[in-house]
Amino acid sequence: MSDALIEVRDVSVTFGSGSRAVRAVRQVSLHIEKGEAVGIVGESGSGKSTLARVLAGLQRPNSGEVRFAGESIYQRGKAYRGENRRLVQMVFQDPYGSLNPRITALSAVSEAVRVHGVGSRKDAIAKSLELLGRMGISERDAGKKPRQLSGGQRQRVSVARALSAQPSVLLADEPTSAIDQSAQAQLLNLFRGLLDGGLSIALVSHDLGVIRYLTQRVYVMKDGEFVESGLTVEVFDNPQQEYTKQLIASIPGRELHKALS
Amino acid sequence: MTITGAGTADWFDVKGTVPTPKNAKRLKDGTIGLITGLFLLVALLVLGIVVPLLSPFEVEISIDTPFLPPSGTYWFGTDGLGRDVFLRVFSAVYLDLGVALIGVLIPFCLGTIVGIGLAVSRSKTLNAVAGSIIDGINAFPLLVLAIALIALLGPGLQSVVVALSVTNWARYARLARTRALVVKQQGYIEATQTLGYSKPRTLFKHLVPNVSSETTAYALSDLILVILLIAGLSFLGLGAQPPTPEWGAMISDGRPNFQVAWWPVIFPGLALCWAGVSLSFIAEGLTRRERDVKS
Repeated sequence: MSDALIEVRDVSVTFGSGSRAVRAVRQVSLHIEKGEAVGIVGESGSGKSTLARVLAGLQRPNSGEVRFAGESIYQRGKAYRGENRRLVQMVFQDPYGSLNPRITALSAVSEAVRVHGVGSRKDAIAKSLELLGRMGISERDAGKKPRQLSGGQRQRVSVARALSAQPSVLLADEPTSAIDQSAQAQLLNLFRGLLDGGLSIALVSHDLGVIRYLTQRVYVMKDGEFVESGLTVEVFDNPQQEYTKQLIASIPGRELHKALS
Repeated sequence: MTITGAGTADWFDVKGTVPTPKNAKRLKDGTIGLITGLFLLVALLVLGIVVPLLSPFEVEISIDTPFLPPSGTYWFGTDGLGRDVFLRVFSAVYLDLGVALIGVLIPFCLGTIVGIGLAVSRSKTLNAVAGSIIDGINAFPLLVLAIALIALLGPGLQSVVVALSVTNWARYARLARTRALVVKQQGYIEATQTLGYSKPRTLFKHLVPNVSSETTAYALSDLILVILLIAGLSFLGLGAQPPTPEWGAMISDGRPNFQVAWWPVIFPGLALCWAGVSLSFIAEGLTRRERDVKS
């Protein structure tokens, strides 16, 4: 995998120590190619969010290695030094906590735009409005504080903020789990568009419908380990593990869908 | 369907006559309370300036016979030394509220800084040591600790402020630390990391404002308690010293002769209530407005 953008080798994360230690992630390896959408799926508590935080450099693994563009992300003890920092961005699960409640959507995005080097205030605001517009946030909504926006809108503002850094990888930790169906569809279509634009996406979700719609490859996670991985289509059509079969069987409306087709 | 003809009551056509919640311009929850509180407070502050300016009497010097009941000349009567109670009550406004404000601001700033510092620091030893100091101070009732400290420092308003600063910060520190630990976990703080924001930017633009909003709300209600505490300490002879006009000291002064003359006790007491009630209207109004906007 020479052109793997992110490569994870034998990563383990343990919280606590002694008899109360929780091994959230155990000896996990994965890779994300350029322009690819990879899914990480599993039930809650399977360690997938921790893994996403490891990829983002927010959680330091106890052992194993995370490489970005061929180099370890930890240089002199700090994750993603210099230029690399902006290239890997994350969208968080909770739309209510992912935006500072005291500043407007526009200032949240324009702050990020300015930090990432757009000169004047005026240019930054124009750029931010354009980014927010691409995410379907009108100029009027851009001037609102997070509490005046819906969950779906907040997530799209978060995506706009992440995109302002012009990343090459977007990590999305359950981005759709707290928002309603139509907002989910809207967000997923935006992700589709971003993929077409060459962005890599790692999508963490317990929702197999979302994974199936968006990703090319999928890793199935259980108790901190990958139990199955491969092309999304193959894993869904021909699951090898009992756990994967159960997950797929639990997709709501699936039986109905089968009966109709 | 249209209803016409005899028997159709006028009230049947309600269109446009009853304001629905949507078209009625709704006041936010708590607005009325807030306005009432502000009005009361401003009135007290204005009287605190106007009365001493316009009064023909002296604040600290005897002007007539002691214990004259309220009358056209002395609206609140005279006290045991023959001073005008009306003038003295309103001369104390800025002293009581001012000392309370300083007594809240110092612990508020100190506690918020310490609390956020602890939440941000990675040192376990520091957190353990500071944590037990904070819990230790908070374990005592504020009044008890304050009295003990004033006993060391000697009575006076300065000692009251020092005692408050030394003890009350711990409450703010605990609140700020707890809140900062919660805020730190929020996505928008984690996002500052992935976005590569500088530490000062994260701290001052994202963390501090979201922590201090909580401690500010507490400070407002604390101000009421501190006003009462200062009056209480002065009542015990530990705060303002005679002949300084101060509500607690005035109540204490008049207390032995309460059977003969109620006015030197009741009027400073009412002023104290006035201050407390107006501030609690404001605090309650602000909290309810915040909640209304959030939902």
